[in-house]
Amino acid sequence: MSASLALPGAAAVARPRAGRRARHLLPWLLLSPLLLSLAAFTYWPLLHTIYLSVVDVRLFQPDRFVGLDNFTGLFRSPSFAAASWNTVIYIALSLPLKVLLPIPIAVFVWCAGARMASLHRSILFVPTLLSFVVVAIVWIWMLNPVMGMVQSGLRPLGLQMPPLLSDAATAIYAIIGISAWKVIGFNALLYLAGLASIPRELIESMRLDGASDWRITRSLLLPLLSPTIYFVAITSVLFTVQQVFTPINIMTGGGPSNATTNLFYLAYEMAFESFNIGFASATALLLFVGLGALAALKAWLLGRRVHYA
Amino acid sequence: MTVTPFTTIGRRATLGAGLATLAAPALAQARTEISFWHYQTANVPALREVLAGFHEAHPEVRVTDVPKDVGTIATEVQAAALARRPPDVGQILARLTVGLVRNAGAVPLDSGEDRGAFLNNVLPRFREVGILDGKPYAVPHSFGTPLIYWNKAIFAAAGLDPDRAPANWDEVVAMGLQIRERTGRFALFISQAGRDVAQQQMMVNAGATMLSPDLTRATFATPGAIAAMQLWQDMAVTHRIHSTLSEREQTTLWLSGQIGMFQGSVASFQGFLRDTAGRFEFGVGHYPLWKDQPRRVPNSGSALMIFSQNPQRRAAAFKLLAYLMRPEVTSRWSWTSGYLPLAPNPLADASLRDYLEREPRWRVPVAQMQDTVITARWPGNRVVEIQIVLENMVQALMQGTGPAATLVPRAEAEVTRIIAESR
Amino acid sequence: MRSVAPLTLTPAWRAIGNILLFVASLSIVVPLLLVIATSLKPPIEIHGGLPWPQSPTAGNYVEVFDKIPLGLYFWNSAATTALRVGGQLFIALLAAYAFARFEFRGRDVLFALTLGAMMLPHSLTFLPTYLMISWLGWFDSWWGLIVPNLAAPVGVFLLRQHMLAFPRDLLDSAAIDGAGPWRALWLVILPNIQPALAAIAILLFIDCWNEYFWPLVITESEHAMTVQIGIRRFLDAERGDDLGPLMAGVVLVSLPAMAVFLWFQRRILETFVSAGLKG
Repeated sequence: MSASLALPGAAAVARPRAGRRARHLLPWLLLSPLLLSLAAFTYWPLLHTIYLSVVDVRLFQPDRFVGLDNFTGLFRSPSFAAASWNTVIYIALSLPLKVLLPIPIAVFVWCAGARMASLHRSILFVPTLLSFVVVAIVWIWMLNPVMGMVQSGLRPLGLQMPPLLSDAATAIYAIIGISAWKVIGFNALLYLAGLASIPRELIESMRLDGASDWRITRSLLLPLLSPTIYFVAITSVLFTVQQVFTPINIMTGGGPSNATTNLFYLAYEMAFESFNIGFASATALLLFVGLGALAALKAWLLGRRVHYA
Repeated sequence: MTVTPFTTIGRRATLGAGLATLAAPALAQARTEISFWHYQTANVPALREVLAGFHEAHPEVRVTDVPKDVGTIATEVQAAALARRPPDVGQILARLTVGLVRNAGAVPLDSGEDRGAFLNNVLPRFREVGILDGKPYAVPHSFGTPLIYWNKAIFAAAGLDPDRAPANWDEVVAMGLQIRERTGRFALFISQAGRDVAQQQMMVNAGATMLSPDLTRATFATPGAIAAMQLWQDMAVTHRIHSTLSEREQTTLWLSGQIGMFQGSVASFQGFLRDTAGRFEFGVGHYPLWKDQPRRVPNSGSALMIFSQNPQRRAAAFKLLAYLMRPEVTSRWSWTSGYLPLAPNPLADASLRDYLEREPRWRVPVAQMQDTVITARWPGNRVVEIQIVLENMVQALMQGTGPAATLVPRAEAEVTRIIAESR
Repeated sequence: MRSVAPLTLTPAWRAIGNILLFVASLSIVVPLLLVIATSLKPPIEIHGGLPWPQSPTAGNYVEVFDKIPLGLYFWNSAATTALRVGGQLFIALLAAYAFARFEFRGRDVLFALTLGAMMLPHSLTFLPTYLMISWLGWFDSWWGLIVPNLAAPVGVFLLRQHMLAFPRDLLDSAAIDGAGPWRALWLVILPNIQPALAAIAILLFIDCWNEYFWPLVITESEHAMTVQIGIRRFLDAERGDDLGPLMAGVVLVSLPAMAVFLWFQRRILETFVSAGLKG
């Protein structure tokens, strides 16, 4: 996809030598702030994390190389097993909710009348505008088993709401649900944008051939949406664990009894509550490798099915 | 130079830089400026009152107090020390002090001009909290002691004497059952705000010691402690008098008068006075005894440590500590903030005596100073992981994952392992 | 949106569709209406029965400013967001231009690295960045919030897409007038990609205004805290009778993003469509 905008006119204009050299330098000058920022705050920290995961940082002495000690110590930590398992659950359950469920939502909005569609689009975008902090606060209050809004609705019916967030069996599902609630609308709008750009003629020609709704969906809509679905799937794998940080931090703190923690949250706790830099870096590294492998696997599995128009 | 978008944006950046430096610490003047990091977010006015007194007594020193979050202040001190920018004085949770001696370069408190004489203003048994290898590194500041609070209206509704505290834990259970049966409310809420504080208090009170004297092994899985933890589980799972809702939910319920008893620190007292005013009256009682054993409760709270590497600022920090430990200061600080008095003879202070006349409930924590032992101080650089082990132990107990006889020894082994692997 | 439905759904499917959309919309709208309703309730009604206030009052909106220094938090958020988004746009504009307009050795590798940075999760970079900020003395300051986040690969990507689609004639005519590439950027390209720039600015704004993790790590005192951290602190300190002010705070914190959205509603969706997520 590389296009260069060559300007034949410019070449014909006589320019001094310095000007030509300046033009060779110009792209680099333009890129320098970005490259500097990426180097300093993205790529160097990446390398430094790898370094920190294999050393022991000490206060008034130089760092000591400890090899894989941080990793083995981490594996023996009971929180690690729970965090790893929960990470898998977070991703596995988030994918259907965040990737698949928005598809029918988008299709139905696309088929709705113009005014309804506009209303739905606005509503679907609202959770994206809200911060996760706000979302967490709202849902804490909604789900409070004694004084929350849902309970106020159930009480007249004689029902009692279960303590979803303080029960180890349900807490993680509550968090997954809340994080899905926040994201589904946005993903549906992404799909909707994809659907809206399908040329009307294609559909009409398929209809003339006698195609049913299902056939149109299967042979036209899904393949045309596949790059978007692919994009949403990959980003969900990579970013779900990070997205749920805020609800976990505000609503459960990783508990009860490690029920809602995950590798990202564990890395944060190790870094900022334990100040155990080695373990935190080792956790971060493991998480990255794990997510990278998952994303690559997904890319390979789905990549074969993606169609580009 | 012609004005292009570039220069306009350049100007904007400069303005931003100027504005941003407003957030940076003020320039040092002729006075010595020291920073005091604390977590007294709830008591800032009272603390500032104390600091105002210090500034009057020592005009050559200026203290900037920085409120921080109790959960991360120890980490931040370590990070700042690593970046060569530690606070001059930090308020550190008592159980984390040992870890910070090595990891943040804490200064021995007998290295000041008075050779640690100011420490004599603190009750000897409290001073233990800061002593490591025979040297003092931390001085008590905001000590708490566990109490039991109860909602008098709920007691009355359940047919209990509203002015009588439960004397021991068996009575707590009996009263709790009565509350549940007669009023249908939750009977008890043991605060777990400090991650590992409540369970330590219960186990130590039942006769256990948390750590071996050389700080290398956890030793808390004694029969008494296991029985105490089993009682906690029974209260939650079998008797259902202790709810398993989150700390935040239960605090709200207690404050809106829907829980019978609350077991928490004296530090909550002032806040409760404010938040329950007009809703319900609460009683304050001693931490319940375990069977017939004498009361033995670890303190909660924090100690102050000095981290300055600069000699001038260090000297100023010593002045601050010496002032803060004056008996009249600690006694007054105690009843304005809700923490324990620290002086060997607190009743010598007139303001405290007056307060006790006005608020007789406060005699309970003052009397309990004599039953206080020092909290466990976790060694090494993995203290918060140790706390998390204990926190998870209690959460597992309350979820009914297993009996105390399994969970408590397992936690003890885990803590010992972490200590062995710490540095 | 076309006026004729692209799929002719059977009544059964149409019913399912309506239910699905109805449930989805309700699940979004109802909690938010409840929040607004609660924020308007006077203290006596807070734990009362009806969801909506009998005698609505704006008192909570005043009280929240007494409970927490919300004005200061707003100032911190507004200033750091404006500076950061401004910086991000500027840097992304220059970089996108470089990638789109020029050919130079290593261009594609550098672009791949830029995209790669977009995919790197926070977990891998936050700790060393925190240590670096601490070492620089920028902890708990606006600098710490702004500087580490000035690279916005998403912005670079989208702007480059738009620039690649730029009609060549305009650039050619500028060249004939003697404008070098630098002036072409400002005089020719910039005015014409303003819609895309605006849309990206809005997305970056929302991202920055709503950010939680990084301000949580970096800020400590109220002088640097953003509204998100501030409102979270309020939640922790909230004692049960602060629910009204808390909800008022929640509404206030969400207003800027809402306002920005309503104003630029169409532009955001347009940019996504035309940038072509198919590619």
